[in-house]
Formats: sequence, structure tokens, C-alpha cells
Amino acid sequence: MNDSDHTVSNLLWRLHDVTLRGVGRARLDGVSLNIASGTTAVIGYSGAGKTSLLKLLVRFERPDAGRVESSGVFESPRARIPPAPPLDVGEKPRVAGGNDARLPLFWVPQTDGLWPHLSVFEHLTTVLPPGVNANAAKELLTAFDLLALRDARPDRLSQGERSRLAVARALASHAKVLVMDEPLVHVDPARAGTYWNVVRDHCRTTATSLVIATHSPEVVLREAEHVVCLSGGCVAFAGDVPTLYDRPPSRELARFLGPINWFTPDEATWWLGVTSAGDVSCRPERLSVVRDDASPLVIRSSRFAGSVAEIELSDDRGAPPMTIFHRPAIDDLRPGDRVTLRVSDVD
Amino acid sequence: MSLATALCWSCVRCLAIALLVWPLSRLLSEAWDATRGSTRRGLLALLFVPFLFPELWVGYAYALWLIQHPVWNELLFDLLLLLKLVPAGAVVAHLSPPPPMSAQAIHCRRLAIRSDARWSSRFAVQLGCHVRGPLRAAVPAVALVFLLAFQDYELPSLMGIKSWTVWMFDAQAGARDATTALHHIGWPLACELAVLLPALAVTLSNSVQPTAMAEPVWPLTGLRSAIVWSYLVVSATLTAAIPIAITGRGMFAGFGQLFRNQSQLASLLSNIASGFVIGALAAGLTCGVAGRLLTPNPSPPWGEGKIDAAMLPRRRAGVRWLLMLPGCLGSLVVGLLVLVLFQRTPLFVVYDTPLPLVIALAAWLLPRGVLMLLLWSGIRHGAGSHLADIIHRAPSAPVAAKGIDLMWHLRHRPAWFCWMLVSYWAYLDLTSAAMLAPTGMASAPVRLYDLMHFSRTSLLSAQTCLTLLVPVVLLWIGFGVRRQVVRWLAV
Repeated sequence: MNDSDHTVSNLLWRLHDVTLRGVGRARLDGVSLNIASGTTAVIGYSGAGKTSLLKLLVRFERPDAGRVESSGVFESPRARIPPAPPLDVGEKPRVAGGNDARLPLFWVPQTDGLWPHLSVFEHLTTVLPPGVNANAAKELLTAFDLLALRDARPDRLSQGERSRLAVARALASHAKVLVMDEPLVHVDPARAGTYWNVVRDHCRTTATSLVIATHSPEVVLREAEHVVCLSGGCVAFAGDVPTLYDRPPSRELARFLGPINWFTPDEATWWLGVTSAGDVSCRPERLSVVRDDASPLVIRSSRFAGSVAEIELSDDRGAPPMTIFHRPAIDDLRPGDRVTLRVSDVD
Repeated sequence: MSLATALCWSCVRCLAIALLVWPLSRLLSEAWDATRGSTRRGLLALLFVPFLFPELWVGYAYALWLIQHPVWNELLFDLLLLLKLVPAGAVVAHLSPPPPMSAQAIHCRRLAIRSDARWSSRFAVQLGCHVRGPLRAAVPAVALVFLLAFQDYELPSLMGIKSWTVWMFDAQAGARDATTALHHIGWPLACELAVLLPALAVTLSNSVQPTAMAEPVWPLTGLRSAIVWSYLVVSATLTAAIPIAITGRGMFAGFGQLFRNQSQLASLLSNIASGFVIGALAAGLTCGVAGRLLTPNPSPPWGEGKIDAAMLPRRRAGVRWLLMLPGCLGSLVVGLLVLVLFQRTPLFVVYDTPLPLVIALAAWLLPRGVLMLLLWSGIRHGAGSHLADIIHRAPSAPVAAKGIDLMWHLRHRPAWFCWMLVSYWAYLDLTSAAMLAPTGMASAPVRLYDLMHFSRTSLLSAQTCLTLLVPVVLLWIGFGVRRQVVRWLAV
């Protein structure tokens, strides 16, 4: 993310050429990055450095080289450790929420970070800010389906219950910024959406900023405004989610947010009948596959996976086969069908 | 009896015990993983009784029982030693990362053996798998148990058992200066290093594979549960309940005699105090150095408290093992080395002070301190602890107070427990204390040990009870005071 993308007044963190060593290779390698208020998703393949980046943001680890500047996230009158160097900006950055009694930051670690000697309910009451009724804790337990387990300790909980408790505790803290490392990843998909609604409502009503690491394109698209793509410990992309979704700089980056159809100029002419100076990309929902008995394009195979169908096409004119993704209303295409591809809103 | 004979006896006995301890340790480690809540707390309490119960008390209780029947006496000693060391093996098994070859991986390899393969090639494949899997995982625990058994002194000495430690201690006591005894130490040292170095090599090469997952934990039910709980009850009974019962007979009369003889009581309390203070100082040094050695620097991939060479920077690994090496050789060897160091060098000026003893005890107990801090490292350095720190720095005072309380539970309490335990072990030490205690500062266990060889009287039982329990009470009072201070700070 460049400063032009976000005014300095809403920056939470700024990383300058940050390196974090690992065993055998750097976990983060020369990362320079701004993280703004609002919801930011950190994505990347396993081992890309997502968790390492989040650990730096919450100061669980320190960089081996470079600087991590925070703006108001760690400063507090009771700070025992020296705060990070402040941002070199004229105006004090705005952190969501104006209540100084709020905890500046809370974290949902990958390992949940639960406290073994406390019950489920005590996890929430321990972090509740003063003045917030204990009923708020009960409401959160209810929202995350943990009320029946209120007296249980972490060693009695399943992986999914631990995940939910870690998220519920973070919300109970009413911190200004929440950093969540693959939250709700162990929760069954059928219920995860409901819990995400709770997180979203909480962030909206309390003006809380959120930084999440995730593998799920759906979570990024539904929850985040900004996205940071990591690859091999380096930042491959940082910007707005719609930009990465609709106008991705490369095919590799585009795949972070789910399936995409990517055509070189020659392929675009051949398969789409479109003339373009550059590559043409379109998400499955923008590609229509229409039956056309006169078309040279023939379906070799089709696999329907609920929201997206993957079809392999061949061309009578001799072009190599191509795989495309689309979103059919009904899965009625069969091998042997002749089709035409139509793209709406090509950039 | 020559040193060679005693050494052979010790080696054979310790090897047999170490090999027998391993399957029991594995079973108990699995039970440790499989239980939760109060069941786990009960299991761990029973598990550690044999290791933590003072050996001096056990030796004193059983010393004269089978002394007329050498074979039965030897078997009883072997059994007691085995029961004492099973918890140590269980701790190492619990902390060890999964072996590179998991049980599932071995099974997959077994499935891949062709049905027409010869039995010899089947055997070779199976053996290869087990060498890379369970056998490799067993090496650190077997080595540790061997070393602890090999270094044991109090129990064989009081029970009249052949052991190189008894031979060496007697030789040292009879020699004019420690250098004479030190001349004999070469072979025992070679035996210890022959076990220690391969174990170190395996431990250092252990690194949790990215794909290595912990073995699945099976619930503790049915026959396994019956075996585990029966074992725990029997071991706690033999190593603690029976010794308490044996020495308890007539103990009240003994207390009466002791309290009537004020000068004897004052002398005993003075010995307890000096031993306690020296033990506490040594424990402080041990825990300080152990904490320093384990300080994450600066980017710790701290996990769930598994021993992992990759967990700490490799450039400091050499220093770490070098510092822990003397402790791995046992109190007797460390005591002798420190004795010679302070007798034969310019350090002689501080020879008759508590310094040599404090250094010897700290060096001996350093590996234990490191192991205990590692056991709690997942809690002390984990994400939960960091979150407690975040709360502790909250702008709101009530929330910050909760952070103080959390940090007590997650960071300071484990460190305090570690210090208490190491203090008590240092206090109970006989060999280094007997060699290095300054004039007029003999510890109470050494004083009692000298008397225990000859008889078991109600007065001696009362003195034993007082000697072994007073430090425990003092340590718990200290713990309570520390806890209260944290509460006041939180308020």
C-alpha cells in the first residue's frame, strides 16, 4: 500500500525494510508496508510469512533488521516497554474509536493463546473493559455457541471451540485494533459465516480496526477493504481488495482471490474474439458460456463445484486446450457441446 | 571391592533399569497427554511422588530391612531406583518432539512391503523404520535415566549396595586431598560421556519437521487406565507411603526427646538454616542462568514446550551444552572437580566459604533447571503470556491489574515453582555438601546421613522428619508471600 492509497492520518503500522530470520531462510525479507485502519487481510500460501508479519505487528517478535512503526497501537500511559518509534507524520494518526480507556490492541494467535488456568467465561471477563457489564460476556458466549461450556477450561475444549473462544475473547477486549491469525479456521464452514457476522458487527459498532491472516478468498472478499499478499517472505501486492479482484497485476496474484480466467492478447483474440493490447482477465461471474452449434469451441470436460464450474475447452482450429471458470445458473453443459465465450465488462 | 567391580555392577544395573524404564515412561507420558483437568493433576501428582520424595528418607526407611539378604536387598534397591526414575523418563518422553518416522509412516512403509518379499528384507525394513522412529525417540530418555541411575548415591549408600559412587565417596573421604580421588574418576567419567554424547547428538539433530504431527492421543480407558493407575498407586506407596509409615512409628516420642534437648534442637535448626540458605542461593543462580540460556533471542518460534534444537539460536547451542555438561555428570563428579579447583588454585582464598558449594550445586542442578523451564516454556513464552502483557499495559487500571494477575499465573508462578524445587534439591544434596560445606555450616541432611548408617531410632526419625519438612514449609510460606505481594500490586 502506498501513501497515496491511504492518507497518513489513518495509518496503524508502517514497516520499513523489515527482515525476520528463520531456520534456513528468512521468514520476512525486506518488507516495507503500510497498514491502514479498517479491515486488512493478509494472504499468501503456507510459509509465505503471514503469521510472522502478524507477530511483528503485535510485538510478539522483533525484526532482525528494519523498523516497525506503530501509531498509537502500543502507546499507553502504563506502557512498561518502550513504545515503537512513532510515525514521522505531522498529524497524530487516527485510531478507530476515541475512548482512551480502550485496550489499544488485542491478538488472536494461530495457537489461540488461551490461558490454561481460566474458564471460558473468565477468559472474557478478564479482558472486559471497566464499565462493560458482565452480560456482554454472556452475550458473546451465546453468539459463539460457548455458553454451555462457560465453566470449562481450555484443555476440555475442542479445536473449534478454542478458536471460537479466542475470537470471542478478542471481541470482549473492546481493543481498538484486533489482529487475528486465521481466526475460526477450525470452525465448521456451516457456522463460520454466523460467527463472522458477529465479528463484522462488533467492528462496525465499536469502530474497531481488524487485521486478519487467512487462506480463504471468501473471507477476504466479504470482510476486508485492504489486502496484503505475501510470497516467500516478500510483499507481492498491497492495495485495495477490489483492485486485486478486478484488475490483478498478474495471474499468480489474481489466484489469491480465487479462480480467474487469464488470456494473453493472442488467446483473447482466439478464444474470446476480443482484441486487446494487454492480457485480459475476468472472474468466473463475468464469463458467460453460451451454447452455439456453429462455434469451433468444444467442451471436453466439465466439473461443477457449487458456485463455480471448471470446463476444459478444445478448438477445432487446432489451438491447445484451455481451462476456463464460469458461474452457471444450471449445470447443463456436457462434453461435446459447442459453445461461445462472452465476457462482460472487459478492462 | 575394587572400583572396577563396582563400576561394572553399576553399569549393568543402570543399563537394565534405563531399558526397563522406557516403556513405562512412554505409557505414562501417553496417559499424561490423554488426561485433562483434575484427572491429569491427580495423575501428575502421583507420577512425581517417587522422584520428588526425599531419597534420604526412602534410604533411611529401607536401609536395615533386607541388609542380611544381599540378593533381595539388591532387587529392592533396583525396584526403588526404577520407580524413582520413571517420572524423569516420562518428562523427557513428554517433551520430546515426535520422531522423524511416525507410527503412521511406519505403517505406510509396512503396507508397501511386497507380499513375496523375503523375511530378511521385511525385517531390515522394519528395523530401519524403528531406528528412525521409536528407537531414536527413546535415546534421550534412556540416556537420562541411565545417567541419573549411574549418579545415584544416597540410596545405595544407605542400603549397602555395590556402586561406584559409594566407592568413590568413601575413597574421597579417606584420602588426604581430593586429587587422589580425582585420579580414579576417569573410567566413570568415560562411561557417562559414552552415554551422554550420543544422546546429545540425537537431541541436537532433533528438529520438528514441518510435516511432523504429534501422534494421536488415545483416551485413557479400560486396561491401559487400570495399568497406569495401579502402577502409580503402587509406586507412590513403595516410595513414599511405606517410608513414612516405617519412620512414623515412635516419631512423636522422638519429637518429645528432641524438644526436651534444646541444644540438640538448636544445632539441628542451625544446620537446616545453613543448608536452606545455601540451597536457595544455588537455586537462584541455577534459575538465573537457565532462564538466560532459554531467553528467546530475538525471534523465538516457541511452540508447545517441545525440546527442539531449532528453537534456539544454533550459535549459542555450544555454550549452552558446555555449561550444562558438568551438571550431567552428577553431584559427586561436580563436587570433586570444584573441590580440586578451589583447593589447588588461587581460588583457595575462598575455599572455606559457601561459594564453592553454591557453584557446585548450581552447576549440578543447571540441567534440571533448564528442563523444568522448558517444560513451562510454552506457557511462559507463548501467545497467552504475550496477551497477558498486552492487558497488563492497558490504559485502564482495573484491566491492567488483571494483566498482573495473569502474568503471575503464566510467568512468575512457574519460575517460582522452578526455584522452589531446585532449592529443595540443592538442600537435599549429600555429596557436594559433604565435600564443600565450609566449617560450621554442615547441612542437616549431611549430619543425619552420618547417623543413619547405624540404627533407626525414634529420635533420628523425628530429626529426619524435621530436616526434610521444615524447608518445604519455608518454601511454601515464601510462595504465599510472593503471591500476596502480586495481589497487592494488582489491587
